[in-house]
Amino acid sequence: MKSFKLTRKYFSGYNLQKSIYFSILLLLLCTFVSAQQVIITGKVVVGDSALADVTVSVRNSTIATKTNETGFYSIQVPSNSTLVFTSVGFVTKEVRVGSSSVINTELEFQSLQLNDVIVVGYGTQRKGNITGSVSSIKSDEIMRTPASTTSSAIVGRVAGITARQATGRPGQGTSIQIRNLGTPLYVIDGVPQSEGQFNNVSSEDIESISILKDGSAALYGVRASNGVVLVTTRKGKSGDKGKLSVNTYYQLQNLTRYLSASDAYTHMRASAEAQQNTNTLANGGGINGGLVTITPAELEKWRLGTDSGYRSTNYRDYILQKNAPQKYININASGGNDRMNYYVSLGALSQEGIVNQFDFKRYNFQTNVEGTIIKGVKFGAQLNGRVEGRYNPASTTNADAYDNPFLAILTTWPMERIYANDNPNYINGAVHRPDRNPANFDRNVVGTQDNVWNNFGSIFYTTIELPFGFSAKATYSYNYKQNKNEVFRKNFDIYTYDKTTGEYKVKTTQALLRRNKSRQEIKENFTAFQLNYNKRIGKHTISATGAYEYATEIDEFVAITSSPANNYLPVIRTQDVTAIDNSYIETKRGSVIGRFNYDYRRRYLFEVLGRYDGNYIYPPGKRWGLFPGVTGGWVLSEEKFYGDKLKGIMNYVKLRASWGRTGNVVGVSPFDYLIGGNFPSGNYVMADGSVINGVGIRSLPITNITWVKSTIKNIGIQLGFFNHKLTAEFDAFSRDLTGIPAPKVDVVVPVEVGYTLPNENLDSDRTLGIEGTITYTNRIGEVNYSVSGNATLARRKNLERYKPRFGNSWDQYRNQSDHRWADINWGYEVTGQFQSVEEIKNYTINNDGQGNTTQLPGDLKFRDVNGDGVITNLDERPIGYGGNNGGTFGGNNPYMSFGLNMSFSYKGFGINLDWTGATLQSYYRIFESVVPFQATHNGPEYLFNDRWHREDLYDNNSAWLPGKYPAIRRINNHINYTRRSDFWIKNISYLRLRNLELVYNLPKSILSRVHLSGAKVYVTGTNILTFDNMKDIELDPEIGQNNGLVYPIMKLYTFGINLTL
Amino acid sequence: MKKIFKIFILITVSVSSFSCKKDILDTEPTTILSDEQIWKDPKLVTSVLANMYNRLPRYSSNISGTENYAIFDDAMWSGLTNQDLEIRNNLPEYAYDRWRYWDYVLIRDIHVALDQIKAANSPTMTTGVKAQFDAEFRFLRALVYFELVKRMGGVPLVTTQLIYDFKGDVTPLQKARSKEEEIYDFIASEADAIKDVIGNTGNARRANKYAVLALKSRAMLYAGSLAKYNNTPGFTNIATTGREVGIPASRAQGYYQKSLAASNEIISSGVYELYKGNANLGENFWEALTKKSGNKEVILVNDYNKAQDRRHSFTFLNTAPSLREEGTTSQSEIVPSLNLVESFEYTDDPAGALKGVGTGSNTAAGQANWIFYDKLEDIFAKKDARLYGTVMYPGSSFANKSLQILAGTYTWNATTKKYDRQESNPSAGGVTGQDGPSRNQQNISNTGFYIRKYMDAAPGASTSTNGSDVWWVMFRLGEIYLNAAEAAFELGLPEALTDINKLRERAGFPANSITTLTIDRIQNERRVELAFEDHRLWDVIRWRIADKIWGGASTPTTANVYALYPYRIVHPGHPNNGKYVFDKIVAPRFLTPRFFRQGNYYASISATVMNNSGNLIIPNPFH
Repeated sequence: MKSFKLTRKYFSGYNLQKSIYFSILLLLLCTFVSAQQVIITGKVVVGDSALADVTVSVRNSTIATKTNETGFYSIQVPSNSTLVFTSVGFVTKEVRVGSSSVINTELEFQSLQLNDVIVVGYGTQRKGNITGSVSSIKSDEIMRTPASTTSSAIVGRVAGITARQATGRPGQGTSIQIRNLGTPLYVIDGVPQSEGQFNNVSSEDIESISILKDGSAALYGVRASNGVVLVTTRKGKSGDKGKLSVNTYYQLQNLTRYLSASDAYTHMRASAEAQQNTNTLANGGGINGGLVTITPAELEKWRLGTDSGYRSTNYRDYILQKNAPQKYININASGGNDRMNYYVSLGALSQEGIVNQFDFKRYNFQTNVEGTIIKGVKFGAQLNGRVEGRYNPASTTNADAYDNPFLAILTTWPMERIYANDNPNYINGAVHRPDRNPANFDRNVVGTQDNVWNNFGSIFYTTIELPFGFSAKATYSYNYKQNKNEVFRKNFDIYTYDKTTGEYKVKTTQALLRRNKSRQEIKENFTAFQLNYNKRIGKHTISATGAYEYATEIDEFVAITSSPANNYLPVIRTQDVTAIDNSYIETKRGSVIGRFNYDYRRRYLFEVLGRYDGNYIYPPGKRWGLFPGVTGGWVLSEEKFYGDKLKGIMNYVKLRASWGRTGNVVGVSPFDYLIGGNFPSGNYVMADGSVINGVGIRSLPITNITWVKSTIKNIGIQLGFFNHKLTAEFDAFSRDLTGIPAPKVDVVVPVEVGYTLPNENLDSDRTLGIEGTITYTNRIGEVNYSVSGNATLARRKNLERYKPRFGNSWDQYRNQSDHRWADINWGYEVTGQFQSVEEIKNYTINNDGQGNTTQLPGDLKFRDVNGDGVITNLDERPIGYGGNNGGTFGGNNPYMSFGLNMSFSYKGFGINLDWTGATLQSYYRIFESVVPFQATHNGPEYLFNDRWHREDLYDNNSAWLPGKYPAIRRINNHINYTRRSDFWIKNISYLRLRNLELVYNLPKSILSRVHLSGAKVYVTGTNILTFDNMKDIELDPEIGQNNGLVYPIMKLYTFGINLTL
Repeated sequence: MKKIFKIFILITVSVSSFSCKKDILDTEPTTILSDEQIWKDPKLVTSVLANMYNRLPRYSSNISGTENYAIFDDAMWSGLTNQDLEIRNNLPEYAYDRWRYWDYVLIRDIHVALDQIKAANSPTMTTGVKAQFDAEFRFLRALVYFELVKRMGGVPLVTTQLIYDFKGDVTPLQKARSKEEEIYDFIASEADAIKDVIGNTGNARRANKYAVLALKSRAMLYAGSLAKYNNTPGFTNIATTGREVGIPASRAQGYYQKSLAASNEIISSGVYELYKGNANLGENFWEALTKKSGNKEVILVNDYNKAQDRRHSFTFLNTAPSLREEGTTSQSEIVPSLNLVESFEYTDDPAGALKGVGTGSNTAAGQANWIFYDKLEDIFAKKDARLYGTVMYPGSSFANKSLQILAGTYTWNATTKKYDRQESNPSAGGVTGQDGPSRNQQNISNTGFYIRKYMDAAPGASTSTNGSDVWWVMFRLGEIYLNAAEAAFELGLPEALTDINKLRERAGFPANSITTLTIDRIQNERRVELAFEDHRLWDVIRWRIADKIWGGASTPTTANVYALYPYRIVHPGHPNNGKYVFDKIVAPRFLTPRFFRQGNYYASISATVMNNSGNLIIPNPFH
């Protein structure tokens, strides 16, 4: 480090004294150098500008120097050696020392990575040659987000990915889509896999992820209409001496946001207000006010909360723990020589939920080994295994166990206590919903519910180099996945406390005793043969690939449920069995694949690809289909007419276009083409003690339906400016789905025939969109930095509907879906809130359909769009975009997503910021988040505080005070809430700092002392800052469920170390 | 290089040898039987029957459509409050499609079965076996047509498979509605044709001769009363010109005769007898519908069997809190009304109204009528024993556990000279019993009663995992006696009295307790004997009185659901201290009187059905 500084200053002639020292040093050095030395000088440039600070070294030696500010260097080296030019942000270049003593060279920017090799379908391609819309993510970018699932790690990285993390449950992934097309096909190391498999690859083991977004996905045929995600796992490199790497982190998880439930006083006050606001016909409508039976003295006691029996319980604090830890460690070794390479990795992840005892644990191993038997013949094996477990307390209801704690926060009443007499040995039974008492959510109380995946995957392959530019590959893969689900729910007692006697009495036994064991086994076989051809004839490069694939999958399931004899032992005996379930499903697929590439001087690029794909799900004779694709590219900047001046600014221009066809399996079930009878189909007691399983006569066979055709068109432009300091890539695309199954409505058979005519491939829709990425990479002094932004806008539009019929023009206005944007959400427009009793009395529009007798000040006024003086469903208008998942309001990813990735490095220090954001998406609130006392539950604080109410709780003539939310009532189905209106819709926009990573790479000088080749410490903050419009309702912008009562997304702090030996 | 080729060929051969097959995409279904497999094997044909028996419609029963118990006047909804307001207790009127039924899929499947049996050719499918199967499938078809005609009026009478040729012309398949009477006539003629072929003698779980006769007895009674009461003066005759609905009055007598003949054939056969296995008459009546061994009263049942995993959750969903075995997850959805309770007569008084009840107004005047009872159950003393067998009322017990039904206390207030009412939250303890009644809590009775009919006393029955296997009785001798009595009454025959009194004797009435029969008496007798057995709605429809008893605000006493709230008196030093009083109030969660419109006598036919028939199918009146 020091000598290099001297060097710079010497050449700049700035500090004479130091220059002299350096000269002496150099002379001294020369005297040690043995004979046959030559002095090489030269200049390093990038384009027209000189490049300073380039390390010039001699391969396999310690001799090195750096270029000065004008790009010059001088170095004494042995003859016949090779000079290596390296500089951050540039492609490393090697030049062999020949007869000349002057070596001038030009370095290429790394940013566009034109020479990077990208994994595409059935092979790899140089980035510069790619003509389809393909994005690639490298391992270091994936590693940057310390997420437990792969999908969460790739959000915001590249254009075209839209995402929504609807829940933060341990081990739960993010719903990602490519260009809002739907769930993509996942392929890992060439073998199609499930989304769960993709999500649970250890992030360390991933070399790269490629995303095929356009016609280039045609290589994957009938299941690829939503795009393809290709994952490649790491391999050892030949020439890599061998290294051992350890990466470990410790993470603290905390809530981003969750609804605050009201405390006891607020609850009681709201309860009293609800009495005052009673709407009964008996008191002439609510405006007269009802009788409040909760006395002021009682309310005051709740407010003070000091008397025993008047204390407020904070369930949220009881249920949710702070700083829940997640731990991760991965150890991997890799290396190789020209006969053999290996990558071996072992990883473990342990995540505790923010709710106690809700844990996620995962262990992975990956072993990739490849060896050369004889020259040109390689064998390889990729073995991986995974144990992935989710360990929870059993559910106290028949609902999902994860949901109970979050529901409990709002279901429970703060006036009630968790334990009888606050004694933690006795669960309080004197509560209105004992099933949601959080003391139950305990493995020791209610029992356990554990779900474990035991997976083993293997890929064996051989590659053979053949003469004349041919090569061949044969692959066999076998995966075994076992899902083990075990529920052991117990009986337990809940108690009441008798104050007078001081006794604890069993109130009831919560008799939940039940044992359920289920096993699912999935066995996947995959065989493939591939033949490649690659030839360069002068300026023409031709390559071709042909492949054949065959895959089968067997999915077996067995489950036993019993009502065991005791609360303790896990054994199941025949006498206790209450239900048995089992199933067996076999699927088969086969394909012939071909691809042909041609390129002329890397200037004109052309590709034809196709797949002849067969799927077992269709009737014989309708199983096979051809899925072709064409892509082309033109590197404009390589043309002679492209002037040098222009090149100085915009040095790289590539135009590309693609067209491709894929398929989508929709609206068809296996064996729809068969007649006969379904077994079992219901059962019946046909004689005393003899239950007979039924055979259900099948309806008409469906033989006329085939896959939905998907046609993706894409045009794109790739640009490089200022010698690739600034790069940009823009795409415009459309995907047409044609032949979506629908009934032919003009031939309708009478209902009395007892069957309906099968759907046919009739309807169509189109998803349109644009996306782009702009990246700027540069350095100022010793600060290297890169800023990259990407954005995607994609929306679906319905095209044809088979001969739609409408009863009247309103019906058409409301229900027509063809040639309209999809996922339009309809509802009422709110014009304001009633401001006074007078206003209600004089209001001329019948707002509630009951002459406004149910209205109070603060209630929502709906727009009477058709002017008929009464609000009905005829007044509904489009009010929102596609909505949140898991609700009644659609389930869409946002129409527009964006990401901004920034990284700065200075010497060993680095700082990385990843922003993600989205807009054009709606969240429709229902139930607990809007309705006071929903199903007699508690309500969120904001609803009970910021509300319309009378000034004096005990004076029905007192003035109304305004608030944001309507007056509190105990009427769950009041039109304020039941009418879907824009008052309860949030059109979400957010920008989130997904990662803030601080990295420090320890200097080599320290490392060499401890015999390490690399050491990195890092601190990452995830989701620590969000700009959005959901703050007022205390929900995360990505949340799925309409009432918000689910496991929210987490805020994470991670501390990690990465050591390489 | 040769070596490379050798290896390449070796691998190709070895891997492809695993995947050599005729069609590499063929898979075998694991849940589908082929026609060849099914129709040659009587066991599998029986499985087809099992599937169809299981698909038979029930509008309100203990196994499906349970919530429909709660939309008339015999019961109300006390389950989850969010269901309460929208659909159960706040029904402004019955939607016209509320009891719509149009299951021609089942009819098509029956026709497929009939055709396949006719064509079946295997050693085990003998002529005799085939004839018996034919008869049983035809019974199911007749039953489905009865369900159709009672809800929809005359429907298209399809008796063969309708096969579309995929040539675009559907007119040969389009069928108009038959006359209402034609459907009833079809049921009668089918019953006559199959009753001696069907077999299944002694099996109450599959239709035998007497199940066929029971169907005929019920269907003909319906046809007769429709012919008569649709044409009664004072009732707006509901009819279409093509008689798709509307049976001429002239046919009444013939139908009544057919019904009576069918009923008498069952009664006189001596195969069935009223259940009298328990000396406790109340328990006996509960056992008549729930006890399986030695029960010679049932003619056709839909049975359940826990040991073989055929179970239902009626008990789980309708258990009083103090009887629950599964803590708080189980529910109390359907609770009987005071209206039903009061329709049970006292054995010594033909009026059933409870004596000495207050108005619940919390005023001195409202308390003036109180009788101070020593025990909660005293107010029900001397009631028709069928009340005990149908309803759990304050003071009763079930499966040796006492219910805790008490609304609260009335404490004497010396200054105001009246009793002050106190109530508390039943689940939190206090003056109100664990079983309520509660004015607003979900899953606690809102009326002060719980249902007993069909409740399962077996251990574990009220848990969600074990469930109940109490059966559903489709036909039983009790109904046949009432059918016979009604038909005889309409025909002016004296045997009507004998039949009806026989049932009343079982319920604890003295011999010959009715001496003069009126239609009102018959109607009330059917209500109490057959409560919750899916008769009430269809009975009041065929008698054409539904709009009179459920007339909305104009008939408050019959269209509202009433509740009985019991209280303990707190009046230290006074003789009344510790005694019990009762208030009769409109059930607090019950918000809107029942309103049955003329258009509800027949359910509406869906627009799709009418459109797809090329408008040959006409709508019902008022729709």
